[in-house]
Amino acid sequence: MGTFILAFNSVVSQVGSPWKEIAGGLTSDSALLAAINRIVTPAGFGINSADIPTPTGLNSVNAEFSAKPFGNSWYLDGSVTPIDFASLPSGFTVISAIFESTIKLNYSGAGGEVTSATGTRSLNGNVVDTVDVSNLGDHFLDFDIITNDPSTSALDLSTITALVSIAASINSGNPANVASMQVSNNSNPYWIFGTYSILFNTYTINSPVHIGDRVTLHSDDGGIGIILINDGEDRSGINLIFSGGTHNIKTVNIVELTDTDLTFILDVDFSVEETVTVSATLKTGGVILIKSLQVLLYGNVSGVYTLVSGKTTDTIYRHDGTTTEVAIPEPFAKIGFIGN
Amino acid sequence: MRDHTPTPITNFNGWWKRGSEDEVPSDHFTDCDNIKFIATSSFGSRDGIGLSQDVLVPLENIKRIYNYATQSANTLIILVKNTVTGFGEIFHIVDSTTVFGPLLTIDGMTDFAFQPYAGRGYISPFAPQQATTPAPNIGLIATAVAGAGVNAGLHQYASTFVTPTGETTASPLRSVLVVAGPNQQVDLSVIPVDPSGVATARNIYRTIAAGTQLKLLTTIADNTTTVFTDNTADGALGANVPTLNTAIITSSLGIDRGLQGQFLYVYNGDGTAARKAAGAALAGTMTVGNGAAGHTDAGVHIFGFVSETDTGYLSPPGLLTSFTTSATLSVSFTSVDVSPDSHVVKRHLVASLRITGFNGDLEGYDLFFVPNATINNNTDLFLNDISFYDADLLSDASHLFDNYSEIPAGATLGLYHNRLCIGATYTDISLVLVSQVGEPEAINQIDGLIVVTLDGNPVTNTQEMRDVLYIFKRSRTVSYVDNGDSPSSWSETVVDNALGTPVHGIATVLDSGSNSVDFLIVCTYAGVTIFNGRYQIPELSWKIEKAWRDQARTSFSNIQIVNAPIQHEIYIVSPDKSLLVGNYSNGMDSKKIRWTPWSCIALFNTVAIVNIDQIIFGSDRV
Repeated sequence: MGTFILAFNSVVSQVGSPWKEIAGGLTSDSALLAAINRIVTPAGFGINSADIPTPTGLNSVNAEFSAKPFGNSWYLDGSVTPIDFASLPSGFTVISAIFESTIKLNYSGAGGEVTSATGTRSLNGNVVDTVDVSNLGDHFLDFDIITNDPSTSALDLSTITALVSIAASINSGNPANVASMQVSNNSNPYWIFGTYSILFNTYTINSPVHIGDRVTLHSDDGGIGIILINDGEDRSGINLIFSGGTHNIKTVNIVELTDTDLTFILDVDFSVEETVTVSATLKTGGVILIKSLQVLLYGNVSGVYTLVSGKTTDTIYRHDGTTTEVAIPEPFAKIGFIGN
Repeated sequence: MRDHTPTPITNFNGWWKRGSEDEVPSDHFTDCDNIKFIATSSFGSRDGIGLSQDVLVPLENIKRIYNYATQSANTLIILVKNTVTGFGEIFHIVDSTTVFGPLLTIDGMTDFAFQPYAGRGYISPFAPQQATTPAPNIGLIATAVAGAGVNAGLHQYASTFVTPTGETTASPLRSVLVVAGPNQQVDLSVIPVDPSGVATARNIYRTIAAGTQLKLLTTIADNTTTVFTDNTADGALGANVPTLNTAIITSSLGIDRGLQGQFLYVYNGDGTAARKAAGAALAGTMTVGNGAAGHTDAGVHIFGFVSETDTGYLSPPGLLTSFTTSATLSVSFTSVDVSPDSHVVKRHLVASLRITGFNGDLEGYDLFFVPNATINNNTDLFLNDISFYDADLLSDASHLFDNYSEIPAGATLGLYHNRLCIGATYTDISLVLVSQVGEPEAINQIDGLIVVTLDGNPVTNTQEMRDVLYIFKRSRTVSYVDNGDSPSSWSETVVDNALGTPVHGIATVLDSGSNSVDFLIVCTYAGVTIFNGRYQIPELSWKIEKAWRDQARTSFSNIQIVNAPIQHEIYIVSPDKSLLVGNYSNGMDSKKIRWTPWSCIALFNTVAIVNIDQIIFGSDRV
């Protein structure tokens, strides 16, 4: 048994069974991971009610409240069972996190209506920007709250005292009589999504990965098509990083590239003890938004084949009782410059 | 654009990979993949590949494929690497639905040589092996001195070199007797250092008192210190000394040679397991006595039996017994032991001429086959009433004493003048074993040998062309001519001192040998070359010279080439497991041949051609 380390820069998510055995190969050792498009979801989310001042019936009120996760567990990728912080994958570092929700401010009083509200948003005490009031209705306010803290690591999340805090100035008009104010969760779940770098995840290899084995990167939600495959000198595209160096997935070895799937054939061997990192780099820079990433090892396609005159596809053994028709890999011919 | 004159391209002559891209002629491709050439000037997508097996569990992890022409069909013999056990296994694919095997399973077999002969198949397992740092060739000096710690008794010492890749085997042994008393410490000196400087440490091994197994005493973590004081008790000794040299020199080219401790095997083609070729003499005893009235030249004779296998192999004479015959009586043999070899089908009586002054040496006299004296099975224990005169003893059997009873495995098999040739055994990489004419399993250990000029490179191919035996190394080619005498008397003629070929580097033609018309197509380090007794220049691969020479030289033994004269195409498996295809329908020379690489999801690892023009590919996982 060895370890297989998967890393995918600028990928939103990784999912369970990322190296899935189809016909001999790998399995993930992490049953906790499942495949949906959330990344990190707090097991619970609470409001620091102690920070909410009680309105005093003035025409305006300055209210400050904050939200933070409570408890020390998180869901990874929508898994059913929360994972405590200690079990988060090592190096699971948040490159950019977005907390998006609305916080409802209920109030009651003697007939006055809130006519305006403004606020500033802070992250861990640092003012970030102005908060918009997206909805101004009867007896409640909805604050669209968006956080963005690229410096927060997953492990740091457990120590957050105020993921977001709002210092709001509420103008309730005249006559104003806001008797009470309560901040509560909106019906929207609080969840964090965004772009993460999953630097390290550890999987167990049950058998070596060999040349000729087929691997698919899959995203239920698409986004893979953005990856620019280029096996030119700049080596952008998908790389396999291992002790022998960085191995670029070559165009010639790509079986399929769609928005949801990238299937390629390994043309390098990884022994059981090899540590391999899969990384994506973009020729043009930017972010790859793959909300879920599934890596499938198709097992081996080895066997005895014969050249068939007039055949327009290649038929491949799968060694699971089935075969696969695949296109002949990119037939092409290029000529040089013509002319003087 | 107004004044632009179109430049029509009417011919497409394939890939050009030499010089800069600007130098590529307009009728050639700067790059291409997976195309085939149509007629004289066109091209299109290559043909697809299909499945060769229509069975529930097709073979996987294919390492090598050979065409195997049996007496009734054109079939395939295939080496796979079992992904569970890691062992090499050989199968026989008769057709798309019939598979025999494994016929042979051998640990460490990553490749094999194959030669069909009279419907049978001869199989020789081999594997590429890299050169290793030599073990120390001198022993250290061990002297008992004042001190304590070492158990009293005779101890033996040896050392090894430890390199970044492994450890050598042990140096010659040195002994020291430690006597109980004040001198129970041993000073070691002149501990060998690695002259190549590769070693980063040296291990010292010692036996326990009166023991024979070397066990680790200590590690000297440098390649300079030459002394050590041993005051270690037997119980504190560590691991056993290595028996295999693992100190691989990674920069060296691998050597393809027969597997250590392995042999030539023969497969009957009927799905039964392959068995070791040749065989031992009959062991045991028999009783010789006078038979019914008959005749012999009265006197002392030596009698024995030669067993014959179902492949026609004749063993060395066994059951040797002396007996004094009578002039008027025949000779009868009883209690004739049978052979434990289930493939023995006959036992032939052999006898000496009448011996005057017999010296008791049963193997010291010439033996001859006795006419009409054969037990036609391996079960009967008797052969009665045999009469003969010495003048009837014409067919010599003495030479059978000198034959290999087990033929060491080599990396190449070939035929020359109806003799089987085996090259590059484990112990002698420049050695070629040559069988008797028409007896592929009868190889004389004395005069059936050819030793090609020693240059550190192994023999890679033996090939007959125009009545000449050409023997190839990877960078040398020599020739021999059958002078009618034994192979060891054939003289060597140097053909080329720079060019040779890897083990699968001579094009197999159709479903037979490698000789097409009057030339060979040979893969050398310089390129793909026509060989007609000399290497033709420029090479066929001249147009793609850079691509050819960019291939990893350390992986050249992965190259395999077949020639399909019907398609007018050459198929070459490259070290990177892509395919290089050369179409010579416009002519087989360096200018007219059209090249293109092919790729496939299932990587091309081995190629063969069967049934005249059917191209077979094998794909592996490693």
